Amino acid sequence: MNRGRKTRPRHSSQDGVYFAMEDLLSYGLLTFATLALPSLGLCLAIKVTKYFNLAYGDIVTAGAFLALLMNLSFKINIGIALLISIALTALLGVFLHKVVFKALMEAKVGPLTLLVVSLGVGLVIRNVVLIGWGPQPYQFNTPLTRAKHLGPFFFTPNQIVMILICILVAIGIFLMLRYTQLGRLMRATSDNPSLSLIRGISIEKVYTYTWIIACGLAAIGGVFMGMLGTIKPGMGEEALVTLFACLIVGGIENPYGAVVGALITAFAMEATAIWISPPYKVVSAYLLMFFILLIKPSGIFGREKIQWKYFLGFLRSRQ
Amino acid sequence: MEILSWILTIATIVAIYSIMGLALNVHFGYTNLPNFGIAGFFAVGAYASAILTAPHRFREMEIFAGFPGGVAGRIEAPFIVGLLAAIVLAGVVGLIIGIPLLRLREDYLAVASIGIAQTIYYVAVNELWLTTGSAGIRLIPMPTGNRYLYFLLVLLLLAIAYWVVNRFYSTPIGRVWRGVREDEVITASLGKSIFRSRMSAWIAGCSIMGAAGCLWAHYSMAIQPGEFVPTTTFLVWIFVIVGGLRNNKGILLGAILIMGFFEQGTRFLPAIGAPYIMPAIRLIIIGVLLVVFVRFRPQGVLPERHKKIEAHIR
Amino acid sequence: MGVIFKAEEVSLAFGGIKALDGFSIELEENTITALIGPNGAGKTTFFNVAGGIYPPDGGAVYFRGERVDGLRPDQICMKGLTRTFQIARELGEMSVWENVMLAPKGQVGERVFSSLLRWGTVKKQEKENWEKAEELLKEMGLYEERNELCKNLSAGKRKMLEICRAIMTGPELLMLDEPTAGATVDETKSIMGEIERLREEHGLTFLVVEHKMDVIMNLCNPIYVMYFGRNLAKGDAEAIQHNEQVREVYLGG
Repeated sequence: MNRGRKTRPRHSSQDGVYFAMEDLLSYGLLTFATLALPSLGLCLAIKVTKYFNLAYGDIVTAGAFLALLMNLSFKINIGIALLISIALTALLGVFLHKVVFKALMEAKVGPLTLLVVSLGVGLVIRNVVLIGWGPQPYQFNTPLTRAKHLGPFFFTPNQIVMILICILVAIGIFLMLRYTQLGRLMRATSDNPSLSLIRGISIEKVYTYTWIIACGLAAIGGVFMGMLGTIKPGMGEEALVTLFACLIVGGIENPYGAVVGALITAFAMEATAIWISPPYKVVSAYLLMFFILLIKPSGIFGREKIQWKYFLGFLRSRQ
Repeated sequence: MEILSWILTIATIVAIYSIMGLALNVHFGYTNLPNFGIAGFFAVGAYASAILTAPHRFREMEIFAGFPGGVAGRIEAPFIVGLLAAIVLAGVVGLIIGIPLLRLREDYLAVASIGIAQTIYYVAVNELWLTTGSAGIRLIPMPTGNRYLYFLLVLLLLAIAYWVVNRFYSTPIGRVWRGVREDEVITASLGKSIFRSRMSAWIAGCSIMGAAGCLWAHYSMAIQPGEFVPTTTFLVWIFVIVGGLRNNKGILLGAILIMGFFEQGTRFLPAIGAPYIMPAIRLIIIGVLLVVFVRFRPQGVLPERHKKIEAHIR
Repeated sequence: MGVIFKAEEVSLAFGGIKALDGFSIELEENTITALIGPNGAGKTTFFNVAGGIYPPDGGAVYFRGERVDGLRPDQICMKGLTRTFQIARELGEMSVWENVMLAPKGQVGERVFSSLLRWGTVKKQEKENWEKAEELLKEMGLYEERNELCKNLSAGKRKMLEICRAIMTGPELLMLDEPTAGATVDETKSIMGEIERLREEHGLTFLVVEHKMDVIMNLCNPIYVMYFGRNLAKGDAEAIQHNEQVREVYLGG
């Protein structure tokens, strides 16, 4: 999410408020476009498989680098490169699930063990990418376009396309979850895996499709992050905790919450970058996450009430 | 002479990492608190000691180079003050962080603690007045003046840490911690405060990590934020899991095997291609090793050993 | 002889379902009181309220005249009220002796610095506690298994261990949730004998939830009957057996 805009124009103080708001809207929406889809994908993965996959950040990286391979080495247009990258990343996700996680899940190890394993998997992906491309940052080869004012926003045509894709894909996923057989199966498996097994639903199939969707979304997110900034092996690892912040803000297993959480987190980050200090924008996402975990661990859409008492909870005796 | 100095380097690093591994055992092995923010507490200890003990000369050089002189180099305290400050400060930071974090379920705690370590990293990079930013703090004195003696000092502190962690295991506090690990509800209904028990384990572990950070700072004599990245945390996790979680001897073994032979031992082999290739290959192998171990031998090389009551009471 | 424990009109609802609906109970000191009722009557829920796991929605719980509802489980235990669980929950990866030695209150070694520095005191306390535990384990027939891991014990032994652990906290009131579930006939006898002995020799008070009628009828007086979270009847074994309402809902008429 480091998108190397050290040259963000600084506005003079008298019109600062107006322009800062404009910056906030534009950059907030762009950051949202990079975060929304991977956080939705991570949300689906957690919802169905019930463990935190820390390799997801590195799957985002893999998506970006696969698109980079197509775009730079094979000179393919970035749009087609994105499609190919989605397919390849989904393949990678299914491969990882089948080779590593499937056996462990069948052995009924706890979610924490799977989390630790996913850490090792992430380490492998990150370093394979590092060997392939080296530590230096890359950029996609995209046609140069000029930014234009659109009402209060200030975007290049590429960025408008990104935001549109992001919104359309998110809506598509929501419709899929609601109205298709696969969506129903995913929800059923999430609610009660053992029951689904009894009903004769092939859980393995549901897991496979979930990973295809989750990793496809990761690839889109990775490419978008790369479009706005640079592509380097550590990008996904940096983004991972931010993605978790989005999820926790919206409620960890709530797909709508994941997208709304991404929106809130994105604007919180950009507001921090504008008014407090750009290097601390990621920290603001973490702080938001801690705040939500403190007062409402089920996220802003969770059923429980806000628990302000948690602040002083360790002192309390009576509830 | 070359080979001796090489072994010495590796042995010192292994000993310092072992201390962190022992602290992780208090957190995760005893109390089931998956701390993925080890690098953060390591950094707190390292910076606390470095800032306090850096010589005046460092500050003068910074000012001479055109930087505003920070806190580092104002005090020039002796090593022992730095060590104590590292232990206390890491404990205090642990306390503050623990208040929100220790209520969470384990997997949430794991993710949130990664965020904590990253936050500490960003503070180290950006708060120039405190940490001099990504340039780091240099000229940190090595208290013994000599690397051989310093290695003995590290060994001494490792022995103390080992004794402390073992003592925790076999005294009532260790039983309470392990009770919390096995079943919180039962342990609470036997009159043990869950939050206090978790907190005491958390702070004890964090302080030990802080001590390891201090030793690291005085060993490398120059620290930068880049040393306190998540990879540091993951390495500790991996050797603890491979060596044997919940078994302190296993942790030492894991540190020697993974950190000694693998991570550090191969550091001095001739590089293949670009300089980043070898470390990357090492990390890939370590990652695969982790997956293989968790799959086929989750208890590690040496599993937990339960003391007999006769040996305990003696 | 006074009232040691009193619950007044305790109620608790889970998502609209009233698990406890104005339940009241009074325990006399140095008695063994039984709480019976069909499955789902709210006995375990009441234990969870009294043990501090759920704060009640309404009503009050007093222990030795002091209000204890809303306290945390550990605070309630420290006041002298220990409860056990229906499904024996064991600390599986710990040995039997460690389980039992976890329980005693006021162990100096439960503090970080004392555990490191006060060698003598810690050692002395451990010895004292083990002497008590050794005796208890021998009586309950668990002494041979003292170095076993709990997860390797049979269901009945786990139940016994849980009672041992509860006794080791040195309680004044012990609330046992189905102490003989899963125990063999011999084990049931030794558990019952131990309960009676503790009442006589140490002046403990008991509240026992049980399904085995012979156990209840021989051991307990008075008996409370609970039905859908409310009080249904109270009396000695004779009275309960002849109570029409109880026969209807519980004894199968």
